[in-house]
Amino acid sequence: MAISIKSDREIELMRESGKILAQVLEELEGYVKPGISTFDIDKRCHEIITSYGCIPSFLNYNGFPASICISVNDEVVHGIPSMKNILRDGDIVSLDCGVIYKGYHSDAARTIPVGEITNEAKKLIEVTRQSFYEGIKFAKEGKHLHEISEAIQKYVESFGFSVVRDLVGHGIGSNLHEEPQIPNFKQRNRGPKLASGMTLAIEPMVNAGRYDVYWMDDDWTVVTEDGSLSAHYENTILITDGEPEILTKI
Amino acid sequence: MQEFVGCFVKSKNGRDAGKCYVIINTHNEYVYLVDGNIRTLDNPKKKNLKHIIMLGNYDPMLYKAIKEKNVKDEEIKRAIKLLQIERQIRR
Repeated sequence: MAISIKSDREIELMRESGKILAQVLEELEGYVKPGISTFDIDKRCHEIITSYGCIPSFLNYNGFPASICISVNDEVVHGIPSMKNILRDGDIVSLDCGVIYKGYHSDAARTIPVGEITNEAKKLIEVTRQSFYEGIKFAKEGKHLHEISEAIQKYVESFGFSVVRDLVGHGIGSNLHEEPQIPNFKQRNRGPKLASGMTLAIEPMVNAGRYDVYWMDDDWTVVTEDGSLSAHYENTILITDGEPEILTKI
Repeated sequence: MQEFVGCFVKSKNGRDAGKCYVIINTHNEYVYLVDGNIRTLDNPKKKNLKHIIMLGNYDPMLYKAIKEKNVKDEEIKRAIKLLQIERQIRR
């Protein structure tokens, strides 16, 4: 499998891209509150990304009409920002965003509460976030890719939640999507061996109910089939000969 | 954001409505579809995203073969068949 190994220069550019994206998401998290529309969040996201001299990765990607995917409650991913979609107290909202800095992409996602949420929703968000960290314990040189996948699934299912099967993580670099695909559940084989210099976007998507999803008529928004809540957590990481480096952090 | 290449889809509109395909390439709001049978790798069908229903990113091995340009029509045909069986079982 042709997974690209990034040069020192490329890694430095992705590090910068990741740092900027982390700052974008941090600022947006503070901006989210009851009464705000997802359109307003997208507008603010676009302003922040361009103020850093970057380009939003998602805008016009395969025709996607916004700079950020905003998915609420039972929406899993690819929610299209809209003036009609007003956030309410008790919602959970996933912000999935990418930036291009000097030709290099980073990709990250966070699910956050809007006002006061239920304990079950809090648990879903925290388990999804932690499943990423359980996965990256295996994101080291010499390990195999699908060890990450298995670790994520095992952790998530131990809490009675399910991992979405139809959507996966991916390699990333000068393209938003590069090899390999990174499922969040156990595979029949171990997958390719990891090597220093690989850059991966690992993104568990976790449903409170069953793992089945379907696409809405807008051809973008993915929702849980049983209407249960869904959370998403993603970072772009660099494989090293030691611990993986999370590039999308401040 | 998920990639479309390697995704299984169903045609929503047109004479092939209801047929399943795999996306092998994209360009803006268009995708290039194959089924390994009538629409083969050297003759994919170009369709607007609005006219397909996404079924999901299902098979990392198929994705790898598509990206490395060493996938065969037979593999596409088999993968679609397996997906259809799997989805019937899940029901």
